[in-house]
Amino acid sequence: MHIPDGFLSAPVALGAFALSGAAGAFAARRIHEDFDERRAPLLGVTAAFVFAAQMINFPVAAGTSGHAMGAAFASIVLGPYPAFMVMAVVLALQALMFADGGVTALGANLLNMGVVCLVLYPLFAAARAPRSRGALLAASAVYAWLTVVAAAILCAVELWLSGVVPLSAALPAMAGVHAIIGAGEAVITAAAVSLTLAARPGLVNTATPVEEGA
Amino acid sequence: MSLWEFERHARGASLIHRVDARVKLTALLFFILMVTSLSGAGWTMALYAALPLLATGAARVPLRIVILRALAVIPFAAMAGLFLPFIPPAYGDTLIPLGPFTVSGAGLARFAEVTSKALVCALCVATFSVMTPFSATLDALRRFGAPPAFVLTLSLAYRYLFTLREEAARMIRARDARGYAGRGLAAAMVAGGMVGALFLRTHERGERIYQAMAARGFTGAASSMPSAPLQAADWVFLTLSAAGIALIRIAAL
Amino acid sequence: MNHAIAAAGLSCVYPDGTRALDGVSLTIAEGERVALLGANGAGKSTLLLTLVDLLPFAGAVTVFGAPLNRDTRRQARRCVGLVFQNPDDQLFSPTLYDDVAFGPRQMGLEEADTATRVERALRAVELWDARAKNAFHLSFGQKKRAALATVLSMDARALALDEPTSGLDPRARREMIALLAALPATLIIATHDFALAAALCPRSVALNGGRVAADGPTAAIISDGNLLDRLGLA
Repeated sequence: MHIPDGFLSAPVALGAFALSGAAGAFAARRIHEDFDERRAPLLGVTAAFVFAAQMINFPVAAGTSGHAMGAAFASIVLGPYPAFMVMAVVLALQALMFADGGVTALGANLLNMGVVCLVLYPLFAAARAPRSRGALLAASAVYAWLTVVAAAILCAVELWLSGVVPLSAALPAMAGVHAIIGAGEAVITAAAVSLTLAARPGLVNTATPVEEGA
Repeated sequence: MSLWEFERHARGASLIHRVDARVKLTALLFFILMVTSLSGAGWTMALYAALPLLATGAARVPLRIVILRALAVIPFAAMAGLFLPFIPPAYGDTLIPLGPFTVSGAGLARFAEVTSKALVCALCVATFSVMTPFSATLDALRRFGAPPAFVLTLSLAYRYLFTLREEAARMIRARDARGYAGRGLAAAMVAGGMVGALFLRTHERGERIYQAMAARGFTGAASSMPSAPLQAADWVFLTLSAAGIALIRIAAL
Repeated sequence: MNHAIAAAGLSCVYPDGTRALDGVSLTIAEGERVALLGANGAGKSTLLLTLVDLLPFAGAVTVFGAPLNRDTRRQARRCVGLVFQNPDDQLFSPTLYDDVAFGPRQMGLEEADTATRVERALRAVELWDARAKNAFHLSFGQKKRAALATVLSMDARALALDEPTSGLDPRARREMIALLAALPATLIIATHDFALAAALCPRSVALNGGRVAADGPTAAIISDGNLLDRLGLA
């Protein structure tokens, strides 16, 4: 759910820009410090990948279909900081090219879909610590689910703070619906990680070193 | 409407297409700031909606294209609208019957306000993007001081958006051509496998693009043509659009 | 005779343990045109990549007289223009113009100088009118020619081309061959296309399993049925 222009009050929009901007500055510094220049084009194509992956849909029930959002998957395969950069690029492109998500809401959308992945990443890293395939897939699924639900909760709170929706109704409804949507994201993410792990084990663990030799 | 059709219009040759992207981007931001700072919907909103529509007409782009794209905000607005019956009425509020529900008049007014703002701003974004080649937008961002790494990433994302969408479409066709009719969990797992496969291809492509850049002496810095200084036509467009946007805002005070 | 490229005992092992090149020795004279023949996986593309230090290798490579290492690879990449098999990997900029200008700009040329080179390269491949387009809007044949233009603008002394005619229809293929025939540079062409090899390259080097299986006149190699059978090219 990309928040359009107009829905957020000025203080909420500005506050979200401040938080996302701070996260962006921090991520940029971390990328600059430990990111191999060989991978610079990878960020760009991964952003294009996030767009393309959203086309791959699957029927859920009664004519509705789900699709991947990809933010959690990007964090798992690229590491949290490069993935944040990827999401910033995806959201900027959507806001400027597709009128999907507002220009003034860019900070809030990046907070919901980028900063959330960054903040929850340590949980994922801790959960997959046993380094077994099972632990990794379970951690990926839970992480993906959490990012979707947390994004929905933040979105509800932002709209409430802006005086557009009542929190008492919006919070449980948004969280409830996204608990279901998040389940789809969890399965897709775990299946995608599983396939990536089988083909190129080194890719999944780039944020914490696992030797591949490449 | 396909992405290609949109992109084709963005490479048009009208006077507005040729206005410097920095000027159009500035006008777009000014427009959005003025519209979002309005309180209440009404005739000012209609006047604001007229500006991008006028520009679309002047650029000879079919109105249908920008309107369809602006409708991207509708699902979000509809979602927010679902909560209307749950807004507790304020003191002295009028209660409006809406089907089986009763809706707070103040809540409904607020909803109409934010939805119309969203539509009008999206209309202006769609107008901007259908009249500005993306390469010019990238150049404008670079000129406005966006970090070079960010602009390079944005440029690659745009370039490979087309290629990867085709790749994803081919995978989907291959899946469906084999009579695929899965649902629920099994379908989600198949979709996940496809997402993983698409990422592997993406990753390999990223490696090859790096090689192609390195083979031509890539040093880590993006490069592009320095833009020409602003022309008289650019200043005219900037003055007219800024004056129009400001006048409507002042009239609404 | 001046060597454009000399490789001695060149080996390259992929991270998964595949030995893609296994002791390749080869010299190519300035102005020479050489076809690299071999089945899929024979090591043709790997050889082209190692010649400009895009893959880690063991052995010694000399490019226009300079031993290839970390310090000289920038110069080597200026001297040897590499054209990739898939033009979508090579054309990564938002416009064709920016793609062709990428190399000259990275070389630090003045914008006016760059503009002259871009125009010359794009006119050479007959794509000047398409300069404002995104690579995505070009036909496959146009993309292949555009990929060539991205190194023509660098004025490389040698061109290393990976499958320049693969995926082209007969007419586009003929046009590509004519285009390459008119180039003054040293050419190293990895290909399955015997007609291309016969038309452009007096000499061919056949690779098999990462080793040089034959090196001699193209006409002799492509008419040796036993050899081609062994190479998986018959």
